[in-house]
Amino acid sequence: MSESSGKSRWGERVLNGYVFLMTLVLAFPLLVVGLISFDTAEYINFPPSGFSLKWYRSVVENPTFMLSLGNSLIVALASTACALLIGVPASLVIARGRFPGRDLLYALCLSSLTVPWIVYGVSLLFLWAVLGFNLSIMTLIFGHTVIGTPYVLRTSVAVLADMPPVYEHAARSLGASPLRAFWTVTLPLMAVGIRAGAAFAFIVSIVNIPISLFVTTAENITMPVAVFNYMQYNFDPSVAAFSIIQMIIIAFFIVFAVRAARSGGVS
Amino acid sequence: MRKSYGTTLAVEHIDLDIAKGEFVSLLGPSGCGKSTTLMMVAGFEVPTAGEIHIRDRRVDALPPEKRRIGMMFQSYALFPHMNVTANVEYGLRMRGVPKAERGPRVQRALDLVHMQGFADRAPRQLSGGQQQRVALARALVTEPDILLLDEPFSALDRKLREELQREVRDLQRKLGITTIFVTHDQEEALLMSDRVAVMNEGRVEQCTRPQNLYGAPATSFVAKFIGRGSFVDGTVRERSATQSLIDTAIGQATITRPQEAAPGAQVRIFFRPEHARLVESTAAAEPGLSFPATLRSLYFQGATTMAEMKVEVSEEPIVVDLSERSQLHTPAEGDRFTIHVPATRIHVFPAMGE
Repeated sequence: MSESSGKSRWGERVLNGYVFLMTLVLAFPLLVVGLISFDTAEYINFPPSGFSLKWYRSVVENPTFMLSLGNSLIVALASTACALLIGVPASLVIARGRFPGRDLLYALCLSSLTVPWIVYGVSLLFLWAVLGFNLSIMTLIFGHTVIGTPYVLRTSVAVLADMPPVYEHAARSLGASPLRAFWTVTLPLMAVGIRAGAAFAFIVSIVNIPISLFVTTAENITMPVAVFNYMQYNFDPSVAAFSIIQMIIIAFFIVFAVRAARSGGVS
Repeated sequence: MRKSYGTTLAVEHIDLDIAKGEFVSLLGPSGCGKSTTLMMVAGFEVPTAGEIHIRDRRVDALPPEKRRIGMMFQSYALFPHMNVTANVEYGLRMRGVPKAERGPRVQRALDLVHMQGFADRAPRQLSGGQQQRVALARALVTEPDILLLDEPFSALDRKLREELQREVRDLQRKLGITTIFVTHDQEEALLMSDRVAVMNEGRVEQCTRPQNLYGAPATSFVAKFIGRGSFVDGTVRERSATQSLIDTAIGQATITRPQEAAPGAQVRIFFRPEHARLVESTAAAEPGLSFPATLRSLYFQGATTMAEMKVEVSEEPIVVDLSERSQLHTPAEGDRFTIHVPATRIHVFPAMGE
């Protein structure tokens, strides 16, 4: 008895050490960015040589950065909404439908995950040129919707696959039309998957460079592209400060979205 | 009514008339088409051909929500994101019952199933039996024309199952609600039903009162599926208006039950364990079937004791109920007996099929 519990305590210690190490590996780069953003030096270097908030002020005073921040939020929110509007109904068709070619359709819907984004970005640029569309925030939202939708689809299909159709049958037998059964029963039960998918879609949009790079103009520039452009000519810690701001925004929206979905999911 | 998936026939032919207030079971092994039949009545499967009527209303073109059904499922299927009240209220809400009327009706439904104290609980806080009670209240609260039960007791343990079976049956009688019950458990089908339809390979083999099903099986499948018994192959030798003579490997059987096989036809005769008696002498006074056999093994089952008897010409054992004999003396394995089955207790089925 005592030997086995001693062993398990030892195992627990190893596991804790491992978790600590992994956390450090994952968080360390972030820590470096954080430290640099408060530096007093004019160039990015490590370890930092002092503490100041001047780079945060320079971010706020940089019109391109502030414009890109607004754009990124609009694009990320709009493309996430579109991804949900397309991905959730599509997941019902794929998870509940019985028709030939269903697996193929599912694979096709997920295929944009396998195309390198930079290739996809170039293709989009040509597509809009051929169709005669001017690049705008709409074309950007379209591009981000295409990469966000597979995440929503994937997580929604996963929950539906685990959820027996018996709940929908029960709702229908009790007088609910297909739409009401979906709205009152299926959708709340899918909330976990939808939430996860929405979070992914939001993140892949807000951090995306490869697609945005090709289809943005000076007016609809996004945060990562602004950072990318800035760093081609400057090497000061304001990009670190801007990255920290971006990270806080993402964290805020994810937590907010999760809360909202959770309270909406329980009626 | 018919249902096929591509070339696979799931339900070949079903023709059932269920009276108002009747409790009818669809009983059969898995894959016999009983669940598909229920799903067609509920509206989740579309029949390939045929019609479904509920209370003079043709419903086979209607979606499930318009059929005025109540349903119970094996997995309870209570909505996990709603509490007990919201679950029971759901059907009333979907059918547009005014809010003021819903409260009392939910209350009454919960009273019926003795769950009044659990109104605010979440389904996951309830035991399986309690969840199934709430599911019953939810199915009944809308006062459906027909109640459909899809193996609702098979996930419960034995004691709880028996308790709920009795409760559902009592409630069904009290409310007089027409009920279709799908199950693979013959005991609960016999226990609960006014009539049982035994299904096999997409067809109804027999649909009758439970007593008839056991006492007068129409096909060898029903005989084998309901209760226990032994089959012996034979050939019809003679048939008159009152009796038939059938030659079997273990002797000639006299049969007084009406049967359709003409002389020369290959048949299988069948009898129940409780109708096979062990007798001491080979000279049987009554007509029927008598044959010698050796006791191979005894199975004590509480109220009954079954014996597997070995006959010389066949590998297949003959099952005999020893319950009544056990007071005289306890037979031992290896003992030799003569078994007698009265002529009125022998059933005859065609040899073909099953």
